[in-house]
Amino acid sequence: MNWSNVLGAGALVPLFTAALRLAVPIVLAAAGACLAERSGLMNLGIEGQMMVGAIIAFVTVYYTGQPMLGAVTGAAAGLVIAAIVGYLTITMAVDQIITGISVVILGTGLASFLYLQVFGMTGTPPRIQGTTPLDLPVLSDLPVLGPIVFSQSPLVYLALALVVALWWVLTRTAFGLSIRAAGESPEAADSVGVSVPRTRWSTLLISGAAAGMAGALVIDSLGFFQDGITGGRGWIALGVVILARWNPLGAIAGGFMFGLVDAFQLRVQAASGGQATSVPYELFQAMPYAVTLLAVIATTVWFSRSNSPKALGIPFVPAK
Amino acid sequence: MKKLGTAVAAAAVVGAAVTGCSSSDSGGSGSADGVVKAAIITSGPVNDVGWNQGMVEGAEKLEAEGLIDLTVVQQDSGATSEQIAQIVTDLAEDGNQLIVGHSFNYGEPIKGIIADYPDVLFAYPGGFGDITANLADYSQPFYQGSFLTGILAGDLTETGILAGTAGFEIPVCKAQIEAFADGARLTYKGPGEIQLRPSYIGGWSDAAAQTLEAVNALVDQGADQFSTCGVDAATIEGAKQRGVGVAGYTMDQTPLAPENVVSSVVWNLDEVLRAMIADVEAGNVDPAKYYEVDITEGGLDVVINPAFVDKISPEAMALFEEYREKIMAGEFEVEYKGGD
Repeated sequence: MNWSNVLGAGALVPLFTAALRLAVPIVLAAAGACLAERSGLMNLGIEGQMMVGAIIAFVTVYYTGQPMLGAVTGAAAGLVIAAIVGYLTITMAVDQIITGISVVILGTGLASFLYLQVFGMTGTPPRIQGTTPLDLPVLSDLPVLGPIVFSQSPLVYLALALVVALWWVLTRTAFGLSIRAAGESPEAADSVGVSVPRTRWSTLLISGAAAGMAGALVIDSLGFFQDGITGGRGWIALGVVILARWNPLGAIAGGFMFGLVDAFQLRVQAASGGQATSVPYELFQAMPYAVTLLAVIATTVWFSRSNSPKALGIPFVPAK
Repeated sequence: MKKLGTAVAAAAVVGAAVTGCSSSDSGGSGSADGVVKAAIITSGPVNDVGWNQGMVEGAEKLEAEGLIDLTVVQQDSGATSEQIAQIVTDLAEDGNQLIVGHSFNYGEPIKGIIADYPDVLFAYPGGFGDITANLADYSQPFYQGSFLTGILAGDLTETGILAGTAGFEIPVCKAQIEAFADGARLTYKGPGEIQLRPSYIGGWSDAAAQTLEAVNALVDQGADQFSTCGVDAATIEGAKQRGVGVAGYTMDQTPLAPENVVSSVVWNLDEVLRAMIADVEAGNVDPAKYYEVDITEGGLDVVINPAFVDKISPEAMALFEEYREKIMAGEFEVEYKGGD
């Protein structure tokens, strides 16, 4: 096999660009989930929120031709689906795991149903034109950095900016303090006047909107919609939350690592000539998951413990 | 195709969208008017211009001919074995005489049901002659058509690097991709020899983003003609984005990328279903058959995108026509390299 096809100077730019494209939806969904989990709420329904966000964004862009508007409606759709999770888990104190999984099934089926209802059977399946990658004067032409950092879709920058904003909210604002208090010790937070249900509602809706927009990002680069289009990224995002130590900035690193290994394995497989190689292709496919799992173990050992929010997954019923 | 609107919303809630579900004459054992009651369960949207739509259109053709009374149930790739088993049971209870589960994954759940309905012919696309009592298998001899699409690809490729994308390294896909390269070897003039780069994604429609990146990786490494097996939507989109050629899969996929789809292998599923219906009418359901309706029996064809007719050299076009006739007449057999 010719390794320069994967790791040569000319191959690294497309490798990192592909990694970023694969990573950004995961990073955004994971960053939103970080906030929800820090407030003590597990939003396991992310995959369903992404699917509904993806189909609503797709329909929006198809009829308006505005990818940015699609990102907004996608986020709104994710938020609406998250509200179902909120009503069940916060208002009704239903088990968060069961609710989350139900919402994934609901979202997946709903997206499939909406797609068929809107577009029906046609000879020419619907396609959309996603956002055009930026072409900044000077910056986009920089060697190496230009194509990777300065030539992405505007949605990618928006998503990354939102992730940084979420980190800022969580770590630098009074609301962020309430979030962390609600997740670590909801009774104590309640006793000093923090409304735990309201805090959890806020973070959940933020998480749903982030997941919905992540779905919009997926269809933006693909240009089409089909069943299962988000391909389990919602579940991967939940893994990235642990890897990120419940920190939105960590989600950038964790998500990018997953995207990089995924992009790398696809390129190694292609360069090695598929079945002509002595290494089974299943090994390549398992790489992103294996590396993510190892990274979770490594970070947990490195920090000597799991520092998950103490009240994570436990419904909070305020004292009367 | 009949519709049962009320089922749709409920089905969406359990993760399945039902596009149509015959209920008007539930119960009993088939229609009294000599028309075979047949049901299709898809494994994805019925408007995918590919695997599922091809099956539905084939069945609708027979319905238009008055041969069958058709019910189509749309499922997605996330349907569980339990869901499939329940749907198949419901369809059998509803009096369907032919029930086709159009996914490799549906074989196992159907096997658990067939004994309860010995007069019903069940079928799934195992592709390796996997027959159990009244459960039939039907082949997917795409490699025969893929060889012909390869003849065109070999003429058009400038780098000599051909790529194949598939969900998994299953025999049907492997044989198709290998035959694509074999066809190309007939027309490629160099430099060097044809190099084949298969890429197995590890998922089907649920791995669209990975498929797109696999296409990017392959194009970056020089591939300029693609064959695709089961991951066609994302592969064709990738080909469109990168400006390379691709052969369509199971239907004429020219509309998906009119400037990139060179030709398409078209699977004529009406011919496959026609053979099954004949057996249902004759009462030959157990033991079921392995329906191998190949290119010599009209099960497959290859169509060329009219936009490419002028771009293909006359020599390659002549060779394409020559091999097409020979293969269809059974005078030339495309080598099957899918393994056992």
